Amino acid sequence: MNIAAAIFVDGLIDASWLFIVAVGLTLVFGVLNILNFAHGSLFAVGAYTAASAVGWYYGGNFGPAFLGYFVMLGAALLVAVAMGPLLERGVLRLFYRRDEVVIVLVTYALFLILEDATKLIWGVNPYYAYEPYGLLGNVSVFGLSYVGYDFALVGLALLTGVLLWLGLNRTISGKVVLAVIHDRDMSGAMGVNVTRVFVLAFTFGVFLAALGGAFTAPKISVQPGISISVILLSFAVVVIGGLGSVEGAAIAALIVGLARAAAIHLMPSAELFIVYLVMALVLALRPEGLFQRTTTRKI
Amino acid sequence: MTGRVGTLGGALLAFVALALLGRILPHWFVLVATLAFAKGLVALGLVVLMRGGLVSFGQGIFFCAGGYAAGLAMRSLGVTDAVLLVALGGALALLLGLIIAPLLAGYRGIFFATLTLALSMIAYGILDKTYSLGGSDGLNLQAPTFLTYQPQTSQEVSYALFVLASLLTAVAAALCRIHFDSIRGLLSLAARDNEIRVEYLGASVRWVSGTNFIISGLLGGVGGALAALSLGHIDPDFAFWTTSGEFVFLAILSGYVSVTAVFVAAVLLELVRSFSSQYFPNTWQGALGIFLLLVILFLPEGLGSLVRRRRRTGVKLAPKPVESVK
Amino acid sequence: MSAPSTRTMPGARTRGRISRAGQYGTEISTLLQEKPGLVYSSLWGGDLEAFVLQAAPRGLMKDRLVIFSASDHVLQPLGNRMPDGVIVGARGANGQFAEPSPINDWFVAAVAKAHPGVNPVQPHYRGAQGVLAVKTAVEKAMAANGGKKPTTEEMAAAMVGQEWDAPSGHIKLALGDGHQAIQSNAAGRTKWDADAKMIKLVDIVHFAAECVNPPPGIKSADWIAEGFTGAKCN
Repeated sequence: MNIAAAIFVDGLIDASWLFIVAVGLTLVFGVLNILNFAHGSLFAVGAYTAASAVGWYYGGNFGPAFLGYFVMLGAALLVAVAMGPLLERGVLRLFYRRDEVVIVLVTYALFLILEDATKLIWGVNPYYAYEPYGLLGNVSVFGLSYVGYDFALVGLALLTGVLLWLGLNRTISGKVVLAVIHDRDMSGAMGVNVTRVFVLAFTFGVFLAALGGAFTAPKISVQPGISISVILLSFAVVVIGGLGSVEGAAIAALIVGLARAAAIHLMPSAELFIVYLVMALVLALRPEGLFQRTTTRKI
Repeated sequence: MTGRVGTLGGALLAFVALALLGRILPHWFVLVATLAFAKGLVALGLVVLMRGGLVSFGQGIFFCAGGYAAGLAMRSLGVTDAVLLVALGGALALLLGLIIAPLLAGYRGIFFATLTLALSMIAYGILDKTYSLGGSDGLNLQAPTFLTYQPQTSQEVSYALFVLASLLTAVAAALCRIHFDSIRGLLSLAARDNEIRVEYLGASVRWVSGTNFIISGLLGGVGGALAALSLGHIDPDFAFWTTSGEFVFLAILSGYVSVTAVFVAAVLLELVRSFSSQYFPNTWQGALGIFLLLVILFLPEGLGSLVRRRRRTGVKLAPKPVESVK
Repeated sequence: MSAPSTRTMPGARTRGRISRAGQYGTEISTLLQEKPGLVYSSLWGGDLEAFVLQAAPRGLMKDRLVIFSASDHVLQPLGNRMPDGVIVGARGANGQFAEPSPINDWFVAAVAKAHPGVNPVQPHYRGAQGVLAVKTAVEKAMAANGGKKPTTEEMAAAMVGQEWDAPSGHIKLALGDGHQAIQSNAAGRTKWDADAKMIKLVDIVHFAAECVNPPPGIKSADWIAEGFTGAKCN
């Protein structure tokens, strides 16, 4: 069996869920200029909600097995609608006039709060949502057995990326969002309701984080602490790809996924820090990331 | 200058008062205070950086440098003297700071924060995988000696460490206060406000950031060595970004106005942590988060701004352009 | 942690430490590629649960020997998602490995009363033995100092070479000049019991403490390399 092929397939699968999560983070930064430390916690909330929803759905035998996927999607939507406007209007809005680093600290505080909130709501014992994981059977690729669900996740990531790109570049509302990303004051002057764009963009970012969490839940044991490594990897992807760039997030997710897969196959001891090494290198050589978004600075 | 003498005198007084207090305070409080002072030193380093407008998520690197230097010196070189161990920890951290500072000095804002975070995680990865440094188990440290004094009971060890911690705290606090009020220190405030204008006025922001970073590294290393001696243990988890985040939390809480506030806040935080993790294990982190939000919202300059003092030179310490010295 | 020994299993290879990410797809691919006859892991907790959830559907745990040396606490949460025939360890004679004794019966009943529905496993047993160790040390120190509350030094001195009974069996501080504890260990195979709706451990083998720990004065790695000289097995 070809090691290169295995690295490619494994890297691709890893990159998929990374992309779904990271693109939300980069979008939120692009529109609102917020590097959201709590993004990983929202991933966790999505995972927990999906686990509970799936448990309820399959436990009560409410319908055909395949609808479980829509239950998970619904869980992600629920999280987004419940938490997006609440966090953005209720908390983040109060700090917009401040330094961009202050907002990072605010999101760090939110991360602390959400960690304990999930423990209060769901407890500290693990949750499982394994039924959807086995529904798509096994797939044999290059002689190795893979779970079909993982490839469905690749499909979901592709779909998300394409829809996001089309939405931003081919629809009017998308172009309005791009305008706000580019220059929010000017957009406001041209009559754009920047406040509404903020709320919608942040809510969509929450949705993407929760989506990543919901669709990762079936393959892991959902418990306290899953947010911490997610946020690290997402940061790495967002920084490498360029803050605010959707294409950058896609390419960077692939780079990170392939780098980790290569490390695990070829040099396992490097796996822990190869991602941060790449991140540090990119920051040192090209701080805006691979797909830079030019920012003007008003002095 | 009366300002400097006053600061040094105040520090000496504080040290004597603490040393006497340590005799009457209960044993558990002495332990908590020692660790709090160690963490306060690390946070003080962050405050130095914050005055220049930079937030670092990488104090874990220097904390581990200090702690591991002390642990290795104890294990492989047989050094038991606490003063020497702390000095070694500070020296290694200083060396690291000198190497890393030029690489980081040009960055601001988000990039500086994420770059330090990445470096912290790289340090964590290296420490975790290096078995000769203990791997993920870390290193254990025994009870140290203090120059010619060899404490016999654990009570005596704790008290001696507390005295050392108080001494280091007083010295560091005094030196930092002097630095903050000096021309170089005030330049940091200017850079925090608008670094482009500072450059146009002829000063080098890179140099300011670089020196601040080296100072914060030294403080981080000293704090790390002290904490390692106090806990009897050091492991790679101290380089994980969540630990660095705790130091950031402490620095934000205390603010950059008053140096004393850093150590008061550190003791408060350590007390809250000790009691809360026993009685509210699943809610105290969230409570801290709420508290942090409130502090950022209502006390943007931290708890220290509650006891704002006017300096005798007439310069008001605030995030506004510096007024002329009277 | 020293390098793994290949003395007892020639040809054994290690895969590096697995990260906390909880996603082991790539690690599983590498293992599948090498077609090993045996898979061993000391993963535990949520990491192990995620590993099993991801590895079992891909056939990593089929047609080969699988050993999880620290896994008894994942058996209840995983339930029948843990395949049969997996060799399980509990880092001591804990949980289902604990042999009946008055103290074990008391402990199991106490856990059942305080936490109904929870099967006591490794963490419960080890917590209990720790508390009992301190209790024994305190009693010994108080007997020596005339009944006063002992200081840390008195307790430490009392603990050197201490022996005590715990729900998992008899524990002794027999190595390292009386500073290192040893206890017996056990291993068993998983088997899903559909009536009881839990994983039962079958084919249980017990190992006396002196069988799986080196005698005083020799390091574990050297002891294994020498061929377990001086081991006292039942």
